[in-house]
Amino acid sequence: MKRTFLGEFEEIVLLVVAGCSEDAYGVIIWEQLQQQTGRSITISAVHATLYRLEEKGFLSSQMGGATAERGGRRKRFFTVTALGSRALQEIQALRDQLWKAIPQEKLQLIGHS
Amino acid sequence: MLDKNHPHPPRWADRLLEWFVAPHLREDLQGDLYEIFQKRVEQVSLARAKWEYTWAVLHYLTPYFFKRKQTEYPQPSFLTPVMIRNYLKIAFRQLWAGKIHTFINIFGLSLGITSCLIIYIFIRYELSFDGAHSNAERTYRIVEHSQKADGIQYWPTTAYPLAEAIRRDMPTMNVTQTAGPLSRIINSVDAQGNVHRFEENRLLFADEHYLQTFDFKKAIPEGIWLAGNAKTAFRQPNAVVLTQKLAERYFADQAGNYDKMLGKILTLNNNAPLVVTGIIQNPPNNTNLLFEMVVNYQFFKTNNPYAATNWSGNYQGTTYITLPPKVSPQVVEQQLKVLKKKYMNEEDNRRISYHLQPITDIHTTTLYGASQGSYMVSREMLWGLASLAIFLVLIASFNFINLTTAQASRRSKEVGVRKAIGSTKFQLMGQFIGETLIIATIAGIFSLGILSQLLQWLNHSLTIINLDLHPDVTVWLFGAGLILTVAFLAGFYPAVVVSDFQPIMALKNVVSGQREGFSLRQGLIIVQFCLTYFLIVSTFVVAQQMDFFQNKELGFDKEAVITLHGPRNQAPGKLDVFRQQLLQNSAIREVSFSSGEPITENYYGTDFRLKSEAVKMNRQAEMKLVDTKYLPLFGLQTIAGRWFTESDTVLSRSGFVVNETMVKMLGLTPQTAIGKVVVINEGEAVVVGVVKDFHNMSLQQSITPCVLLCQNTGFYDRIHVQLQTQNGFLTAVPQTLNAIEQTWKRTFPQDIYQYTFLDESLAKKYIVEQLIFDAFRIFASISIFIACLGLFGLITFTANQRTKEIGVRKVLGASVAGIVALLSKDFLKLIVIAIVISGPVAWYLMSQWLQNFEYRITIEWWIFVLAGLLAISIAFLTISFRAIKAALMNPVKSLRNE
Repeated sequence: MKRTFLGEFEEIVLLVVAGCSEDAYGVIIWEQLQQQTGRSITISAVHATLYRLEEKGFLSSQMGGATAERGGRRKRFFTVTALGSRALQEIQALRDQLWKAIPQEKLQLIGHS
Repeated sequence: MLDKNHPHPPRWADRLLEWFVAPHLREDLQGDLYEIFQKRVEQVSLARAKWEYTWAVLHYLTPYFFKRKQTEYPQPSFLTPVMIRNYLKIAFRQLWAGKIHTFINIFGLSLGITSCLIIYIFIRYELSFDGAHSNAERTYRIVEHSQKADGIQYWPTTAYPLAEAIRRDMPTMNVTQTAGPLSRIINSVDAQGNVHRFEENRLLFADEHYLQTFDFKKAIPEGIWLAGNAKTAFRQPNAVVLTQKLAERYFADQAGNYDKMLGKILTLNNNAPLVVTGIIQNPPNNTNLLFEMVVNYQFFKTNNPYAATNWSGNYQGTTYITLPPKVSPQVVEQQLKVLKKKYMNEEDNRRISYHLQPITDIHTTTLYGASQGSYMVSREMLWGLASLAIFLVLIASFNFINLTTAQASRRSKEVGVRKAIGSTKFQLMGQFIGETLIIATIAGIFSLGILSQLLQWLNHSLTIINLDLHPDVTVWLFGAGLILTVAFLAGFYPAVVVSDFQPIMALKNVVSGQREGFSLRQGLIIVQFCLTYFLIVSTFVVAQQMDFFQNKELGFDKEAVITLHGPRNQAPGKLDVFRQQLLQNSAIREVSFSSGEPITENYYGTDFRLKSEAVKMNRQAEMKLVDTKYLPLFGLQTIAGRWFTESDTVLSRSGFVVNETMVKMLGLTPQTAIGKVVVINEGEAVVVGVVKDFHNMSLQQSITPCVLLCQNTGFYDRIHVQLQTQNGFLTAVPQTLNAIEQTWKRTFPQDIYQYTFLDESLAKKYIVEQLIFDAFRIFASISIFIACLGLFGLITFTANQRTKEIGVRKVLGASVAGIVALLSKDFLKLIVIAIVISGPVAWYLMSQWLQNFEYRITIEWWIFVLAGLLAISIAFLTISFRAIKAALMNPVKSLRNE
């Protein structure tokens, strides 16, 4: 099966959406991302990644109700799809497998406890 | 709704975002931005929040956010290979189905496009004169305005000392000067010692700067020098630089080996040796001062000390000046004012002023007259030609529009089906404009195909003005642009009409928009025939004016007169011998020696006044040096006093014979003028006779004062030989010409025999007018032809459409004539309207054109009637050709298949 490639930023965004306790939409995801990574990220990059992940089928979205502070504009709430979860799991499994393959002495050398 | 006090982000950034971002992403994305903005307003200042908002918006300007979402029912581009194949197939089927209309469209458009391209090339050529030199845009010709009692006289030439004075006093200027081009005899000696003699009429005297200023660098980038170079070529005072053409002629045995030709000796006028110091490529023809050889100006200066140092006269010397970069010509004109004051006497200084004329304007400015041996085309004339080109393309495009909208109903089913299965209006327009493009391209390919042939023919038949047209890259670009323009111009309206059909109506074959199309069609036919009628009237007017030129009573006899160029050796004995020997031939009636025929290129100007008038009057007269036979040969008439007698020639100075115009300008009558002493530049003498006015200038200008002197001072540049005629016809011309040539060769072995018939050379004075006439005639024919093609197409269509109606009418007893009238009437009505509109415009514009001529015809009413009848009858012939066929058709056939 052809695997869809996930970039590093896409992976993090996907994880943040998955880890959101409340309903995830643009601003929340953006804030979470900055908090979690400690990087300064532009909102446009987040939007572009969210839409792209949706196009690839890792996320799905639906529009919420109108809110006053947004000038009457609705929010788009994102949720991780089954394909998205599987992709995350596969990535994790791959990582674990790779970690396990590292010999013990080398593990110490790279500072892993 | 936001209340007014509520902070909101910068409006323009918002607008930008809304315009740029695809609609399906816009709402939530903008909402997010708003939310962040509101938060930031509370956290930081309003200004900073606004700035951050703007900054964030700018990050969205990427293709990802711009890309619009595809609709649920995807519309594949109509430019997919399958569709293109379909469009092409349909297009060619349509073209094939309407063969007559396709032919008319392609043929008409080819004619229009070809004419347009030819005119474009011609105009480009005429505007390119002297633009090919390195510093052409900074180089000016110095022209002279000379104040006369009755106005300003404009000279393209200046006094000879001017160039050296500028060089001395204004060292930053680059000046060059020329004399000529003149006609001289050149001898060359070949390896065997044989002397070859040539008469060259494009010999230019020029200083060492001339070929540096006029370097033709943009036309010949590798440089014009084949041997020698601009720096060293003019070191010797008798240096001569030859063009390739003459070099090959003089040194045929050295052909191609130009370096070997340097240092060779040629002989000028059988006595002065010239050293060849350079060979240059033949300069292109689009230069105003055509030359074939350049002799050092020093040589001219040494041999013509009077002319070369005289500030008052004007003797065919031209001065060119190249300004340093960024110096304005007005400043230089001011400096010239100071300069001339220093060198000229007070009277000349007051009379003469110098002006700078860009060399690239010389060819299209008629004020100063053409340079020696060249011609001019006025800007108005070029504009006229350009409008002709546009007319022709318009007429052809209108045909296309008319024929296509007329036939639009044939396509209604196709349009209906296409629309029903999802074609948009835009796609249909694309399809129909594309079909027009196919037709225009086919027409364009035909045009380009015949273009080169046509140009060759044009160049060949117009060698008289040294035309040298050739297509270059810009012509292809122009052609491509023209085809696109025509396709759009002709295709746009029909495309709009056809693509506007309502699918249901179209499928039911009820076509809306037909009525509007019809009234527009009438309008276009009217415009076409307005233009055509205008061209016919113009052609008639120009033809009459040309006829007037050829046949106007000039006041002197021009028939049966042969002009020979005067010999170098003008010893009276020699001339008399020549005359006596010729007169022994019974076919020769008279022989006269003079400075020039009555209307001559050999114009000598002089000032004139009565001796009793103290001051200089600034009046210009023509001076002619003649002999006693001049009056009988040309049939001039004395109206007071007497003509010259043999005794006048023996005296050191003859009296003057003057013309009526001069008498009038002196304020005298012919009778009172006799015996008065008149002073001219060359001296003073008593007026012994007055001759009736004869035309001494070409008919574009009025008769000028003229003074005739009877003396042989080496200025007999022309010999006129009048032949005997029998009942107005010449007989045995070849034998007589041969006899004259033999006599010439015996008497003047050192000179070259050359003859022209006077009436023919006079006709050449109107060569530019003749060319305009030819152009008008050709283009008028083309335009009427294209317009009639269109009419033919429309009448064919109408006749086909009304086949059944005609059948029924015939069954009910209509006559053939009645049916032809029925079909023709609508069209003829339009043509009459066109004539009524176009007539006054034609009258006005042609009167304006006639203003260019001092002696002109008046436009008479019958021209308009005749042109109208012509237009109507040609149109009627075209229409009836098809209408009669329709009317003669057997009603059984046309009514059978119902």
